[in-house]
Amino acid sequence: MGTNAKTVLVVDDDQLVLAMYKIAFEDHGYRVLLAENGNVALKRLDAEPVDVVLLDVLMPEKEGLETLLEIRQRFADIAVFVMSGGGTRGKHDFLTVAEKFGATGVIKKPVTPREVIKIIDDLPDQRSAVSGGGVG
Amino acid sequence: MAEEHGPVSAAKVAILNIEAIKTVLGNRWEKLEPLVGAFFEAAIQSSFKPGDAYFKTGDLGYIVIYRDLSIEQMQAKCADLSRDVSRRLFGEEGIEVAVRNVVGPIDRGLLKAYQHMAMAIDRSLELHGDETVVFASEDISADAAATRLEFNFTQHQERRFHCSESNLSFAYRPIWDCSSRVILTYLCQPIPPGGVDSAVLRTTGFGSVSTGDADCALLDRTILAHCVKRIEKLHHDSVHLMLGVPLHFSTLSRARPWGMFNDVYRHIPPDILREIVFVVFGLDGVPNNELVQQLGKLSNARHLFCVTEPDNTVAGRFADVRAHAVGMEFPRTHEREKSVLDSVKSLAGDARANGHKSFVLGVTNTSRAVNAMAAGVRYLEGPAIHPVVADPRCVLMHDLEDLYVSKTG
Repeated sequence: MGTNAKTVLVVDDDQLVLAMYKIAFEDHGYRVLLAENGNVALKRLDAEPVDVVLLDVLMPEKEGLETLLEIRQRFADIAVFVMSGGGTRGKHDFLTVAEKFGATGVIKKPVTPREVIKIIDDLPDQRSAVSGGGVG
Repeated sequence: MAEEHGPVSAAKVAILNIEAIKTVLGNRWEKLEPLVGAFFEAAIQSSFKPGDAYFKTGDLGYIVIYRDLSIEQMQAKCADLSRDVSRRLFGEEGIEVAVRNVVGPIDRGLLKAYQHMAMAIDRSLELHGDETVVFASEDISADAAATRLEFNFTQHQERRFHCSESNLSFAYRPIWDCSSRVILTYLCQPIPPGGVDSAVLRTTGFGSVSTGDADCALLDRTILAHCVKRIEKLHHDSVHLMLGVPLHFSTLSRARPWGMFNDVYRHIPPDILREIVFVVFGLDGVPNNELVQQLGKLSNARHLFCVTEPDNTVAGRFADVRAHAVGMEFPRTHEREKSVLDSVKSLAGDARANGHKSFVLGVTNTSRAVNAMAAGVRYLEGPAIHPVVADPRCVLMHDLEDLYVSKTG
């Protein structure tokens, strides 16, 4: 894993989705942390630095929009992408609300791990920007 | 299904094979196999109605028996299952689970053995969670395992207290129509003498107050009379909104309680009745034809909401009932929350299939709210939606973002 490898926190209550993303992201060179709901995600963020959070909306205990608000209040610089199928039956636009609440971006499901990797790879590297990366 | 006479029709049986998933996952299969298996079985079970069953055969096969479906319906269900699995695993729908239909009789003894074992395991998981032990030895029969677990079951006793007509007070629980983004119905909540702790007020619709049928009927009549007066007062002030009147089913179904209640009900003017929503509790275990007959007594009211238990959302129970909405009350605690959220999803789907809206009471956090909304639930009530009010005076506009007002500062 390179020194510029991103640390990605994946937050989803579906254990299979977490396992799939972990394998795909680690194959790509990311360091991966997992959390099954917003409460666990916030504990992970308190414990170690994270570059990107992938946040599902529909989770038990603490759902994604409330978690996003708390992340924004406490970790303003972390890139947070909110993922949702959009409330397939209820027609409620959770992603529009996520944008209003300060999500870096929103991702409409279904989406493949490869597509998510491209979104993350396209992010500017916060650490090299802060340390003045590229200085000769 | 195993108790019926005669063979099980083979047209209801599907054999599923997930070899294609194993092939696509390649060297990731070994790590993911337990999760894929658990996920696939959960997906099969979520497609079930009572009486359906499945067995695992080998590492990659499943025999699924749908009791009441035609072959075309079963094929459609299996196709949905395949798409769902592919989407969840790979983010796209292209990987197909192989499906074959079986033609031939199914041994009833085998069905019965698996049915007993499945029930025993479910009961043990409910009681003991991760400490459940499953006996795999051929020396222990499924019947013996079920019997061994039976005596461990304990009953949960709910708190009960009495109230009398003369010293009740009332509060109102706003019900949010999340499709129209408005609160225009307020569910009347009786408060016994001495008050009630806030947890009970938030999460108990009705069942913690009073006991016997006569007491229930007296309470129901008192609440109805109060709501009628309240609506008259609102009309006097040119305010129009709806009041939810909680009601025990026993008040409808027993002659004397119904007589007591009807003494008030039959005198309600139509313009008042038009703004009353009856929310009926105590419906579980009531046969469908009795539901139709007794609930029909309220046919002049504006709306009828039928409350069912979270784990008892059996499809079709309210199919013939002229209800506006079918719903449930969230449990007070958050144990087994994922299972409860699955019940909400199931309830919303069943209600929709029968032409009803759905509702949930006792929404205590935004997780319950957004999960219910995503499932298509129309009406939500609880402290996470809007606090209880003492005197409802107006229709409120209320949006998804309003659920987070206290969190945005």
